[in-house]
Amino acid sequence: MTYIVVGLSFALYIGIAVWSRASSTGEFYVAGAGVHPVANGMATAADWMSAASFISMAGLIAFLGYDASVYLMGWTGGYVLLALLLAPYLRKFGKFTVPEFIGDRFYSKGARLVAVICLIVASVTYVIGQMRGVGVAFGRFLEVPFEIGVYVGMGIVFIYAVLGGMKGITYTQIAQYCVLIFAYTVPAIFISLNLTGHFLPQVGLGSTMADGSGVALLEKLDQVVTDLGFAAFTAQKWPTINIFLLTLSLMIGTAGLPHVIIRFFTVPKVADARASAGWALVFIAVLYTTAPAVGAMARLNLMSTIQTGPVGEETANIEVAQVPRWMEHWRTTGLLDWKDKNGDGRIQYYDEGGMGGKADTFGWQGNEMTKVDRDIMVLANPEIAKLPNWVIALVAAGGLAAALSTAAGLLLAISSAISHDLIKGMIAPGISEKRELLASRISMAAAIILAGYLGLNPPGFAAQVVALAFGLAASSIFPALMMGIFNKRMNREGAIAGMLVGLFSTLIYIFWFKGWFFIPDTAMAKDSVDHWLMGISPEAFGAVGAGLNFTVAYIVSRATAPPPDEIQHLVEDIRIPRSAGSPERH
Amino acid sequence: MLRRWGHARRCQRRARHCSNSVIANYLEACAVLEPDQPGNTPMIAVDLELTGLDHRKDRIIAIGWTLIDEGKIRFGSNRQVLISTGQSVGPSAEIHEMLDSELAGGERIEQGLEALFRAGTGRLWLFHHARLDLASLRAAVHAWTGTKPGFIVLDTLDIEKRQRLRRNVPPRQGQLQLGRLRSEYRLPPYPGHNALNDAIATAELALAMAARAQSGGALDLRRYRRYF
Amino acid sequence: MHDVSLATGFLQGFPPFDALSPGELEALARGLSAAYYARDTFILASRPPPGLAIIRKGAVRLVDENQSFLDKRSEGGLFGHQIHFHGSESEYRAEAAEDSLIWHLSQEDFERVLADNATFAAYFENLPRFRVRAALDPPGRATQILELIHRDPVTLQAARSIREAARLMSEERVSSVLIMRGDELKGIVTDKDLRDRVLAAGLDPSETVERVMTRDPETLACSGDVDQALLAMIRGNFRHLPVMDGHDRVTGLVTAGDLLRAQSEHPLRMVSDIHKQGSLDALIRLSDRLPSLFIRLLGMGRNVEQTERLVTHITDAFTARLIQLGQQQLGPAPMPFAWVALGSQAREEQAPGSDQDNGLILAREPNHHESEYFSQLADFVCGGLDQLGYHYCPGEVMAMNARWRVSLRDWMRHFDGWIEEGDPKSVMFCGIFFDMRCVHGDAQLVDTLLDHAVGRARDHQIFRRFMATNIARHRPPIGFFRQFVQEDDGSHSEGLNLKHRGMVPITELARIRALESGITAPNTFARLRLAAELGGIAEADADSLRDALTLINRVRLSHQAEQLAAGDPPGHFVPIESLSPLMRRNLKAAFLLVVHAQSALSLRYQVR
Repeated sequence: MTYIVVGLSFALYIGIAVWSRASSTGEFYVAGAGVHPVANGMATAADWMSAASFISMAGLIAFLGYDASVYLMGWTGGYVLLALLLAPYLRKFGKFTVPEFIGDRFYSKGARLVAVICLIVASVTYVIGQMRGVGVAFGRFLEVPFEIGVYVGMGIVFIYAVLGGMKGITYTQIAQYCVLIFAYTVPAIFISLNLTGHFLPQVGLGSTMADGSGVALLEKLDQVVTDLGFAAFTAQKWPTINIFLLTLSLMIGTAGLPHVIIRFFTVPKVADARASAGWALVFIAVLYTTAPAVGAMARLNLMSTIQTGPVGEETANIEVAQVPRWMEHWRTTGLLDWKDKNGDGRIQYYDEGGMGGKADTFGWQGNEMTKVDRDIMVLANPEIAKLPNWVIALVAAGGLAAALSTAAGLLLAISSAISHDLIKGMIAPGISEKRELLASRISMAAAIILAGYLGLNPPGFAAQVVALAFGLAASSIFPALMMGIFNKRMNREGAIAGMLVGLFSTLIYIFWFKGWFFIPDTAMAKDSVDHWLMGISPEAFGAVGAGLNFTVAYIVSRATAPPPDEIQHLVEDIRIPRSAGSPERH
Repeated sequence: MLRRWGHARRCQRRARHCSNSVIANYLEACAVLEPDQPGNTPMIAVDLELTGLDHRKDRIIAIGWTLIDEGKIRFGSNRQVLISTGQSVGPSAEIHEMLDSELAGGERIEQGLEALFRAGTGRLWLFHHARLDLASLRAAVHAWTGTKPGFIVLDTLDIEKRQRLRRNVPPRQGQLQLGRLRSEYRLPPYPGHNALNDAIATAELALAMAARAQSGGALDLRRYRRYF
Repeated sequence: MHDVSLATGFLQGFPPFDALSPGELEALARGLSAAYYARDTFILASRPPPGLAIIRKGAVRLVDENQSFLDKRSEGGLFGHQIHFHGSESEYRAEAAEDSLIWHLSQEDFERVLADNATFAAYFENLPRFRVRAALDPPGRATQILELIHRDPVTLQAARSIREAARLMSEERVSSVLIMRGDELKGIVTDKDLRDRVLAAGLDPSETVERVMTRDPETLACSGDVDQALLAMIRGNFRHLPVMDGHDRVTGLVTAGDLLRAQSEHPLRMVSDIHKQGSLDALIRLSDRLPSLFIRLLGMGRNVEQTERLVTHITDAFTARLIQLGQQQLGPAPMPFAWVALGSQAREEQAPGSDQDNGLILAREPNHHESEYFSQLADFVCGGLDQLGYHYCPGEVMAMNARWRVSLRDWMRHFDGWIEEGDPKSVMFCGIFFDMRCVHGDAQLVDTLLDHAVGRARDHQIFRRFMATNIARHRPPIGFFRQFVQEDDGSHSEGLNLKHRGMVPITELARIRALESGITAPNTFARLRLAAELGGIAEADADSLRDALTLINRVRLSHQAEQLAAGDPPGHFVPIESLSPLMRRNLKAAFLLVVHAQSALSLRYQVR
């Protein structure tokens, strides 16, 4: 069943791609019909949804609760920031890749090189998150261990990216969005109906349980988790400064991610581009507003699957022999595991620290859910809620689509940056096109292998790894873009110094807590609130890096010669709104 | 004014001390040359092909030139001398489309220089991007005769750059390349990387610049000539 | 080593220099000098004889002592020698109509070549005689068949023997004899028949000639012209055609040799003829010669680049002449303007039978009256071109469309708009309008416009990405497994779409590479060459594309020549079956080169 649905959805993408490719070679003068902004908005939304959004975010919310809402705010805010503040100016500047913009604006190959490096570091980090998502989806889908899932995923991603994928063709993207959003919301609706009797998950989240108890869903969830010693779902666990900075990092990091920027320039007409961006926000919001409900309900379902009755009662825990099928399935992937430590034939799932001595009085000898990977929540959700098989398959297809398309977009940007900007632009200008293509394939493969390796030894869950990528982009690229557009006095020396300081300060802070080059056990300090500098998590440090970047760049630029007049005029021209000469009006 | 005078004195002094008659004649003529109008100044357009971009290390492998008299390029004066270096041309052969074997049949550098300086005696030397070629020529003549010759030079790249700066449009990267400039002056494209073709191409470009300038007053060579 | 290959390379393509031996040509080239003339400057006067001048680049206006216009000559054109205008020789002055590079041969050297090479001299001597005939004949009329007939037909009665026929042919020194019964034409016997049907077959020469003749041969009407004769011969592969008068009686015979002599004029002669015509009607009569001219061009086996350039030259000449005629009617233009060719005409890559694509650039914003003037001028010229066989552009990209008849500033705004909003339509327009060349008028306007537009496109990466997206969609007809992909041409048969899937992609690749490097030249070969020179594309890649284009084009043109000869309209679809295995392999290699270049471009612009 799963195979058929996944196969069908991919057949649909390929079919659309082939059809639109074949029909596009038609008569010369027929061209001209554009794509409707609504359709384009859907396509943009599909581009935007990565494995992090689709697979991982709801899982994070399920376990982090309230705090994880920063991902929602950060990513939504980032989208708005990019659409309103950066995209229009970049369009006037006429550049769609960051290295091209930085290289031209700061009239320097050095600046371009630094931008290429920042871009590659951020993009590869982002790909790690996608590889994890692919691994989870394939692991469950093929019922193999997670590692094998990642290996399969690496192969598929490579083929997908080299063949050029079916991306870039708007109609494929629209189909992808439909599958994605369908896969995400249908289970959510079913679950919401089950739990609260409300059709809309967003409403269901805020309403009372349908079991006649009259208790609000969130209240019930809080009660269930605190009873088992976990922190309350709605409690704030991080310092406020961390929440603020993480949100900021996620917002400004968006601007440095190449596959997102490029999507803003696939719509030719400026007015259409604006409308599309608006629609895309609507379509993104559909998923994002559903995510908290999915997270909360999934957590509740998970808890009540294992803890079937009041805490402490002997028969209130599920018997090992009777665990539902989905738990067995996930156990094969290695992302979910349990062990009957006290030998009572039942499973206890609780927080050892939070429960304290009370657990002993129940005869519990430690948490028996030894592994619960948060990234499985969205994919497991329909199964937990006992939804029909085809819904489960649909979700798997959606997760794969999200991860594959994002990974392919990023890999294209990485390989283009390496083969064009780095090799042809700087190392070997006379290189032939054949070699350029070869270089791009090799760099693509290298990026996949690196990302796959790090995906197996992950520094966090998909959404967290992605957050690191945002942090790196935020600290290195965003300030250079902003200053390039809004500060005509900013010169090449300032930009280069700023980017380097931003990138390295953030990288070092991340490596300090996550291990050098993410190699486990090389971390200099434990990755927890107590050890963080002023309570700032590595994921949130991007905003601090960006601040350093701004400061250093400003100081250095004042101390060195201003940029050539030509550049200063250019910057002025771009900021002054010019009537977009519309000769159509005659 | 002072530069011209100094240059002339230097040329005369070197001519007196130079044992090579060709170079001595050349230097004497150079001392009294005073170019002002393109139409009445005899010129020689020169281009060198080198093994690389470093005149201290790299060698001349071909010299091409053509003469301009009374504002006209004389095709009969076209010359291209291939120089046998006695060593492999190495990686740049690809660029210059010259095989080592072809160069092996070339002439010795002294013969090439002698012919060039005979032809260039009493003329204004015309280059596109003079600096590198001049440095190589000077080094080669020094190695041959022990004298460093002086030159009075017109550089089409330099002219264009200065004209653009004066119009307040600083040239962008690549805009001053010979092929690009020629197309701007509506001159036909020639196959490049051949010393003679590049020399002719430069000569035509110079004439075009002179003709264009004439509509707004003649191209004043006094403004653009350079002493080396 | 006095190397004048730059000069000889250029000259050998043009008459009368093609008549010179390599040695003579080199000697001539050594006598040349080159000078550059800015627009509107004086070049030379025809008296005293200044020698011969060759236009290497640019255009030259010939005027009489009252400064009234006599003729305009463009690249490859000659002047300086005695020229007959409207049938009489007159003195003239030559001025640069554009910035021009002129090669000059002194009178002394010119006379030496004239004395040494008779064919070369004949070209110049031939001119007056030709002019006289042109003055007598209605202008532009093609040679009539009657003019080809030099003698009465050699005939023999059908009952006579083969031997008698052979003897008659030998006595009369002819290669064929018409076989009659009474006054009625029954057949024809040629040299070839005597060889194939008599000697080779061992037939007794005393048999009747009737047994070996070709019965009821194809005939020509004496009222026809040379082109009809040529067509008939090409179609039926005949070498001898009897000519019949209005009463179905034989009046003569035309042979392939006769035609060859009549047609030996160079196609470029057409260009000079065009400039002689004084009215639209005369031009239309002249244009009747186009189909046969094209057949001849295609059949001449010249290289493709040259063929297309010649076709373009002819279109240019028609356009320029129509503008002059239009101005004679409407009076002088109220402001400087430039009439530009667009698309394939601008690229000098026009195929026979193309539609017209053109526009008009005005020096400034026109007022109502001026606007009216140019509207009338454009209607006259575009309408004229349509009547000449250059049909109206279905996309209305013509100067008669008010949108493409605007001031320089509005043109700049057009380009700015397209570049800022690269929707499919804009990209399509850019595909046409970046290929722009001045045909008549103030070339400076075109230069200014192109400098502006190309500069903008060079700096606008996003716009170029839209172009790249579009290019990625014109894929060569090579499938996923490297097999050929045939298409239905819309009517009946399948074939490879060589134009849309072979040449268009290469043209587009060259255009975007040119824009990346800020090159304004429209010609594909020139663009590739310049892009390679400027380092925008590797030398080897430029060569590959150039070779691919040449090969694909050659296949297409030879296919079209076959179609024309078979009496079919020329098309762009070539069935695979009609290609030899070797040619298929070459063609596949050429397509793969294009695929490679497209992939590299897609990578560069992150298009999929």
